[in-house]
Amino acid sequence: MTPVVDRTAVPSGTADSGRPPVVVATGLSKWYGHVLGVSDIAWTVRGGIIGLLGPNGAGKSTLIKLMAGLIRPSRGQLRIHGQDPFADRDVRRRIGYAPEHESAWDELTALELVTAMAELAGVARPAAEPAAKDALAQMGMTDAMHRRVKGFSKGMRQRTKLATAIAHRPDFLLLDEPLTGVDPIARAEIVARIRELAVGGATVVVSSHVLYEIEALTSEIAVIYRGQVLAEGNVYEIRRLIDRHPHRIRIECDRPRILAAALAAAEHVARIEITDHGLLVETREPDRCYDELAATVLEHSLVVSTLSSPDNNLSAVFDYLTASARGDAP
Amino acid sequence: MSMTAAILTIARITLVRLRRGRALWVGGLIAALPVLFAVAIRLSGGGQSPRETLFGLMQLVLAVMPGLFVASAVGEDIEDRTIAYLWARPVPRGAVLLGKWLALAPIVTLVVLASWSLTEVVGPRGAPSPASLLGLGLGALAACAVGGGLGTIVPRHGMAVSIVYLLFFDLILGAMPVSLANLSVSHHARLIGYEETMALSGVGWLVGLGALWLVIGLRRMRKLEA
Repeated sequence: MTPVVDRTAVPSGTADSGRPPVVVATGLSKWYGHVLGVSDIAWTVRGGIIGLLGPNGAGKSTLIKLMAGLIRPSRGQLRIHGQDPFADRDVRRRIGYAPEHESAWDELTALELVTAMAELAGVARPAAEPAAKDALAQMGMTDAMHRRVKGFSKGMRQRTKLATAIAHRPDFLLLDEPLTGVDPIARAEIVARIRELAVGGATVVVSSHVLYEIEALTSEIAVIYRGQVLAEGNVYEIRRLIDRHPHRIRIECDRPRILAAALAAAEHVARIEITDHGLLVETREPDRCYDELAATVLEHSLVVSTLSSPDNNLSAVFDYLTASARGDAP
Repeated sequence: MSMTAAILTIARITLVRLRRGRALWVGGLIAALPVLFAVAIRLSGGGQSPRETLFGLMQLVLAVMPGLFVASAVGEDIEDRTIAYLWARPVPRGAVLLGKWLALAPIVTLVVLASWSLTEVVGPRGAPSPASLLGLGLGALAACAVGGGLGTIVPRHGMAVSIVYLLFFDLILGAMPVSLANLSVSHHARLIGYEETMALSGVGWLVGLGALWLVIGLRRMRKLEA
């Protein structure tokens, strides 16, 4: 499959090119028998929070497992801090991984589980329990830390899982669908905590198939679909790259037909749809369209109540890129 | 993290999980069967049970326990993907198998020996012989290695496959000509523990078979993906 975006033209998901790369993948592929996991991925991550966005089955979990050292690449090379995460155990001390699945050792209490995981990540035994308590507190689990995981709700399991990922203070976090099943209050807490970790210097890769989850965390994304990274970078930069395709602008105003008539003559306007309260304009030159729109509004003294571009939302980018990959893009 | 530290940590966690799980209770009930059988025969006025029958019952216990404890513990972690928590950390992959074996094999051995000792107390001899304790003890350790190895090969059905292997295949192997019988854990456990012969070579074979199955499991662990 050919990437729909010229990725060489897109700044890295973390454009801070002065920092040494945390992740370097070159020609990275993984098959499960005849089933493709990821294919020929070239990707560099230098820091910050990077959202790994894609539908279910796109290859997000496979890519995360490769980075966590859980599976071996079928082809290509992957380096985390310059080391092979599958072969070099030491680099995994720097990785915090929260898997997508909910399975855990249910017989243990949250504190026992997180303490054990901290120990196994290399934290000295006397320091492991305080580290676990701290991690659980950060995830809002202090009150439940002496309860067995067996009785936990999905949200509590997610938070415990995240605590196991951060207890040993890794500088590279891999969080596979970390917000799934979490209630809105806990979601906000977790999002805030992940941001704090990034501000503290950790590099965080977060996967999700839910767009607003990623939006809440970062604007730096990598879109993955059918095992390939289709695009990466700031969502607005990606938007610019796909601006050769119609860009939608939604306008709600008191006299939409006047506005439609003024814009209809413009050659950059591909389509105009008049709705109950306004119109939806598709243009190939957004900047020019915005200028003309402003001029028309002023000229006719129109009252504009809403002006928005659905395409500035991640979902539009995601829909566009995945549609292109399927070959049915506009 | 060193191999030793990882093995000890995993062993400790395994024991905590075992203490809170059901396997210990189920295993205890199974191990009580030979004792109850011996007691029942004695109370019913049938005199003392033939030692061969009692030892045969112990061998059945020996065939079931490694599957119930070791194979299921190893297989469940792989099948439930909880092993991802371990392998995403700087833990040597082999430490998972060795840690579980180190925690569970002595428990299985103690339960088997306790069961046999009580059975012998109410049985024909009145007390277990050192040879029988050696045979069953080493047999339990080796059988647990078989269970661990099979747990890595067929994680989804580790317990069932381990029980079937030790209950049928291993016993059939033991009835084969000597060259093949030497590959049977139950054969050597019986030679040492019941017939009380060939102690040294039998000990060597049991240690060797246990080590072989652990190596098979360790090699399998290195190839597995979570």
